Amino acid sequence: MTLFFTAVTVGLGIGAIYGLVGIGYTVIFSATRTFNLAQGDLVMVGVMLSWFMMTLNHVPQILTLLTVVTFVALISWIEERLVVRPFLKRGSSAFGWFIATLGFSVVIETVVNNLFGNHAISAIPSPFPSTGFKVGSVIVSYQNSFVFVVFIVVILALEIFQRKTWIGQAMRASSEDREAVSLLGINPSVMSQSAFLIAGAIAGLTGWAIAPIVFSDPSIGLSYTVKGFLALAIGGFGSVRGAVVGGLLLGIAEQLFDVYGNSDYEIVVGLVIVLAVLILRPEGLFRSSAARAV
Amino acid sequence: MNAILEVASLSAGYGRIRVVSDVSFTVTQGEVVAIVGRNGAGKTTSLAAVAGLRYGPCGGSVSVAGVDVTGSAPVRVVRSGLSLVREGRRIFRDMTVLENVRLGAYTRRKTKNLGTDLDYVYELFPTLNKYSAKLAGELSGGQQQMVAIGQALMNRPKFLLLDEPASGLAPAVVEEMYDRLRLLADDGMGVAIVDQSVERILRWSDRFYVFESGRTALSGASESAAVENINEIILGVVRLEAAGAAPAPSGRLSASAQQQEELSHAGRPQGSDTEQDHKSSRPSS
Amino acid sequence: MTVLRRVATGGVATFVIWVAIAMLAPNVLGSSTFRLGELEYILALLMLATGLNIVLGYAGQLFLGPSAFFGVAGYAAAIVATHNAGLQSLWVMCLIGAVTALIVAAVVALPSLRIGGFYLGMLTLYLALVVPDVVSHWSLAGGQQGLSLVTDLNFVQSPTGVPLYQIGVLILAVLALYSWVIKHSRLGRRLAAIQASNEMAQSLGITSYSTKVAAFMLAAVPCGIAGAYYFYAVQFMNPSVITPNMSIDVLAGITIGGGGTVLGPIIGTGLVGSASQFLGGFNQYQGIVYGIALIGVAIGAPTGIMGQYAKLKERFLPARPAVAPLAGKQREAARGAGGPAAANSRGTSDGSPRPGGDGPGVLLRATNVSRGFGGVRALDGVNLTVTPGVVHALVGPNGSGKTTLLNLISGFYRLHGGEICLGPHRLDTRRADQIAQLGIARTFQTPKLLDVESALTNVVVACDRHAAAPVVSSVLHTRGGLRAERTGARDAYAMLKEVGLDEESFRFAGLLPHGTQRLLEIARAMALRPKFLLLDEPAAGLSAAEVQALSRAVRSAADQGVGVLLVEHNLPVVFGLADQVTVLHQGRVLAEGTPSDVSANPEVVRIYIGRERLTADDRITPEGASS
Repeated sequence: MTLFFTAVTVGLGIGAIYGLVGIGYTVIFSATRTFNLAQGDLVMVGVMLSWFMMTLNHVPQILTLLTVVTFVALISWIEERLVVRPFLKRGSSAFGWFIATLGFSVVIETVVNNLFGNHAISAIPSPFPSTGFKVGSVIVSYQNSFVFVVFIVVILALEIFQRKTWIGQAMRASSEDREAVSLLGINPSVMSQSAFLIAGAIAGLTGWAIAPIVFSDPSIGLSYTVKGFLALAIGGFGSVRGAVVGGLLLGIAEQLFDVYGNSDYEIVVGLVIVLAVLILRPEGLFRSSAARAV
Repeated sequence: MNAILEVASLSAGYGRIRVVSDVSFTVTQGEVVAIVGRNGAGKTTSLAAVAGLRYGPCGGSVSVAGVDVTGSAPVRVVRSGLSLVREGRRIFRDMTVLENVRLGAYTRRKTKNLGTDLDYVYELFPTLNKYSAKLAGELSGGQQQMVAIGQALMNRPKFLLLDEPASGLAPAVVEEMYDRLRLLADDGMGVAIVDQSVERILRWSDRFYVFESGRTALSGASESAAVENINEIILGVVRLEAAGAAPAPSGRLSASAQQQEELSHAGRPQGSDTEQDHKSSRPSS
Repeated sequence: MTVLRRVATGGVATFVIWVAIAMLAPNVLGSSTFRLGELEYILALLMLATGLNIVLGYAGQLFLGPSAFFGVAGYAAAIVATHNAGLQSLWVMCLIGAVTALIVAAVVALPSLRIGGFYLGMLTLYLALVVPDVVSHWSLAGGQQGLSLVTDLNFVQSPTGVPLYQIGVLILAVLALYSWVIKHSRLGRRLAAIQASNEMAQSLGITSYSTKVAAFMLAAVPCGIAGAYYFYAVQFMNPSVITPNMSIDVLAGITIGGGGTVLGPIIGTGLVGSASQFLGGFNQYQGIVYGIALIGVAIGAPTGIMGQYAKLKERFLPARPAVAPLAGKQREAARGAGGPAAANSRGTSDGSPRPGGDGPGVLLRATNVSRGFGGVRALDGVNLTVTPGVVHALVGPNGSGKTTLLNLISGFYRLHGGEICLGPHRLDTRRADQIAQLGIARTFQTPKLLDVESALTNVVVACDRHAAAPVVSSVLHTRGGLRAERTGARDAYAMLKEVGLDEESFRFAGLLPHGTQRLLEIARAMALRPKFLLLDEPAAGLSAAEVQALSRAVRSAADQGVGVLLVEHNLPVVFGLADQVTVLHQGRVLAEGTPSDVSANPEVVRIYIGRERLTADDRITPEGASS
């Protein structure tokens, strides 16, 4: 039983990462109806930059956090301006932006590889003690819990943002009817730029938070990109709730499979779950009006 | 001096389909202007184009209270003081009434006294106050229409354009709504309303325009309007004989060849093609 | 042999020259084992690209993980070969590779193509991650080190050296031909239709799901052969070969070269492959270049190199658009269809029934139909019957539900209550493509056409429905298949002539004026030989002359026994053309009857004008006309 609960708690931590990526997608998708394939790589940039600053240059945690969040948000914004904006203007339904954002992710990955690829893959020292704390008979790692806490914080912050700020409200409305929003005098371009900035900030924060528990390896980007998508596929597009539930379920399922199945083939879990969802309930667990556009 | 909304020689369409070729009309602050015409005459397309929603190349000019907004994006048009309430009650169903209405004040979000504006809207439509915490998607058609108007009003527009606000509503509800809109005009707003029912809207308006085949075919003062002539244009009816009742049924709607030719320029696409398109931007007038 | 004849008319000289140049490449670039290995890798990439293009380029589906199929096939061949000395020949490996790829394609495609869209893209991308990960942990597959035949003394690589490379070139040539025959066949047209518009494809009776699955399976074969060939040539296979980067490379190659053409992917991937193999230092930075290329092409030139080439050709050597898939003989056949043959070709060229179908009495009946949209009842208890040979107009003010009803009948909306039947068949339980196959044709509010094809080809897609030969024979270009193609072209031409568009047969559909496009849509709909024709506001945006042509076409359709349901709000047109009129108002039937009955109905007048009846009293003239 301990094993089971350990798997669940670890799964929550991992699932939180997937959920964070999925939330990034949702924010952008709601505002722009496009899917940013570079999201996972933005998280990776967060990880690498954190590693660079904290491990190589011993910059204090908080300063690293601020720098990383700002930097990744900036890159995300640049992506919106250069790569996504032409498609938003055109408003075509073709999937050109899919290929374009994929291209951007390749560029990011190559640049990072060139800058840091030669360095040995190493873990970043965690500020927390590595022993973990006990909950019943289960040992929970501090760093994992921290990631989960960050996850909750992001969800709450987003919720507040979407309900209390003008732009947040506008973005909520935008996911329902972009044209109606423009008729209220809201600039759709401001919407999409804000969405990318926010998603970028979330990605940066995620990277910083998970840096101590993942290896600083540029190739994790695509993996997170896809896992984040799987989270949405399971939970349902268009809502933060979907990203959260989907991500956590995926994380837990993977860990359980590691324990009771064969951890070598953990990567297959996501594939099987998503195929099952496609067959049984294609729209995901939570339907939402924004999801119909998929 | 009251400000004027001036639309001159407007042309607009959808991609390659030219739906509006030459529309001109004005609305002065303080008056209610009626826009009538049959389906496809270009009413919705014209209003959308005036508000900055373009689906294809546009021509002509639009000026709001002296500010030229020709070809501007909706953002600029809204800021210049014009609000459009589109047909079909396009509000945000997953948000509450209050959130919907408040969002209408987005361009004025920095202003201090939005509360007073909200009070004004509530005074006009007390139902909105009553249901302010309800999700807009749960309201009746008439209530949703009020939300849409309230939302537009939060912009404090000089001019309010309403595209078929009465469609799908019970007559009593419509009367009440038009009464409020009349009040708004009396308070100094320039109001233009599109209605399929000629007779009804003529009762509430000061002036009218008849749209036909993408042009403004006829206009005048409402109280002296000849419903006859307007109906002719709308239905393509041959002019009635001076004496006696309506002409024989067979001749009623068989317009002359020439009229048929003039009238055969139909309007623009309506409704939507598929399930997925249903929420798309294509108007359906 | 007929295939060769077709190739002969299609520039076989160029093809042969390219193959020859490729064969001689080692003479120029060097024939060391190492160099040959690089060239063989590029060949494998080109095979992979050719396969991927069938799904991505022809059908427009986001298949983004070809390296997964390459990997699965290569490993399958490797596993079999390293454990079984008898199965080490190139051909056996290719067979194993192809079969394995087919199986994996089936497993992945069947569920995910139901959703399609970028779901499919993500899933196939995920697959590209899964395969290398799984094999790196699998002992049978050699784990991280992979499998190798280098040290296997039993293995004798034969062919080897330069001949092996040249065989690779030949395999690629065959696969290119494979891609070509698919594209220039009925299947290719179906894929193009699906890519252009799913709704349009469905309305033409194309079952897009099974067609997409077929495309996926067909695409898997070259991908599988690519993996097998690679393993045979370089004699090892490990996870680091089949990284997602390979998929990105191929994707970049297809995008740059221009998907949708046979040559584009080969040129583009050739460039990409060569760059990564031969420009040593470039390797590090190639991701940046490919990424930027992907972005640039997606934004600025989605049709890639071949697209730009086609545009330049059009500018400097303007010619008729290539009437793919018709070769010269068919064009003649099409033109020869004018004259007496045309009158008979209304569906009788192969003896199948004329439009109007099984004779009188097959009614299209909508009973008690209801449908709501978010709380609003768009239709409420509507009854409508359309009779063959009758032009039945459906009118009503804005929001009355006309278009909704049409969409319900043609299967694009789901019914909430009531039922719709075509004779004995229930329509409301069927998909749109099934309904089209039963004999309901329709047009759309904005014409949905294959813009980059000729008007003739657009109609041929509909004529394909009634081809005498099966699709396979069309793909294989057998004698029967080619005959069917010629017949299709002839019938299509006759349809165009019916609506007066025979002059425009070879113009790009996308460049035709709006009114002509509408007539083209009608010609295409009639080419389905439907029992009933549904027209969705066909008169919108038409000039008076175009409306005349439209009316003639509609009348002619009815005269041939087709029941026409005409949704319109251009009343004069309707009342001049229709035999029967149904008036809808707020989702209910308000009036029904002949045009004169309906127009005299005071209820009808009221909903349009707002007053019960017109009286002769009001005579006051309006003040001032509009400017």
